[in-house]
This record gives sequence, C-alpha cells and structure tokens, in this order.
Amino acid sequence: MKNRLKVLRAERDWSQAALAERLAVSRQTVNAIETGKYDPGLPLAFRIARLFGQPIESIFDPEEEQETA
Amino acid sequence: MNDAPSGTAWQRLLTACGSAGPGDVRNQLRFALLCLAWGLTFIASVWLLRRTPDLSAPFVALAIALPGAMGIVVIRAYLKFLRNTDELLRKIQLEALALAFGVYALLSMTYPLLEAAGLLVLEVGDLFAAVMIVWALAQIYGTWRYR
Repeated sequence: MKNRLKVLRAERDWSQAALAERLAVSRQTVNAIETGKYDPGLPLAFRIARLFGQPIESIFDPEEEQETA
Repeated sequence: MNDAPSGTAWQRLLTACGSAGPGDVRNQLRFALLCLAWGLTFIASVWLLRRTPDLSAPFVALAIALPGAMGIVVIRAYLKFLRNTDELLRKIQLEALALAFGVYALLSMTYPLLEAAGLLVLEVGDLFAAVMIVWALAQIYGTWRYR
C-alpha cells in the first residue's frame, strides 16, 4: 500500500525517531511503513491521520502497491 | 531535524534497539529477567533432585512445582509484552513463533521415524533447544526484513 508518510514527515522537518516517539511506536515501524514493507493496523493508521490532521485515505492509498527498496 | 528522542539515556538506548517506549522496555526487561529466574529455578530443582534421592515427598513436589509455576509466570509476562508492544515488533514475534512451532511440529513428526530407522537419537532437551534457536533466528531475520 502506497502512503505519503515520508512526505508529511519531511514537511514538518521531523526525523523518523521524532515521529516514532509522537506515535508511540518504534523507529523501525515508521521506517517500515515509509518504505512500504509494512502496512499499519487501523489504530496506528488513525493515530497517524490524527497527528497530521488529515483523513486516512489521503495518507494511505490502497489502490497502488508501493515499490520497496 | 529533531533527531533526539526524549527520556533517559537507558530509554534512548533501548528505543534505538527497536523498543517503542518505556512500557515496552519494562515488559521486555521483565520477561528477560523472569526467563533467567525460570532457568535458575529449573537448574536448582534438577540439582536438588539428583543430589538428594531420599528427599521427602513435599520437597520433591515443591522442586517439580516451582519451575512449573515460574514457567506460567514467564508465559504471562510474554503475553503481556506481546499484547502491549509495538505492532511491527508483535508481527515479527508472531511470525517467529509460527516458524518455531512449525519446526517443532515437523521435528516431532519426523524424529520418531528417524529414531525407528536408527538414524538419529536425541536427548529430551535437544528438541527444545532446536525450537529456541529457530525462534531466535526467526526474530533476527524478521528484524532484518523490516529494518
């Protein structure tokens, strides 16, 4: 699933560690979501949406598979 | 960029190692310490039962029950850690457990055949050790896979 997490994080000039702390997850989780290796569960997806003040569907796009590095 | 997570140096170190927060760290430490206590209790019980064959029945029962009780405490601690941990770490743990259980089932089904054919004779603890090694390796692989 493609997502805009990296872009949204960069817009706020946050590091992965800083975002992980705000979401109460590990930095590894943030990195795995950004690179498309892992799709978050609903509770975490809602936390992300709430943190960035955007609807979930504007952050995560289920229609498009993200290419992993 | 704001790169530095807050908290004590100890918490920052564990966060860098993949833990999600102080609660996660606490649960992992509790689980690790209880595993150690379980191992020591088991060793002490084995030592006691072997060294004193004329041990009275209540002490024999205690030597058998104590490691069992510790095992239950460890299982509870692991479940608590698993339920409260970071969701990616939980996924890695569950995949590692699934692989370890699969290997256990495979070895359990294959070993009697190998033994009957006279090809392999194992000690009681060998199967457990093999499962623990698979579990540990699967955790390392999972951590690397989602790095």
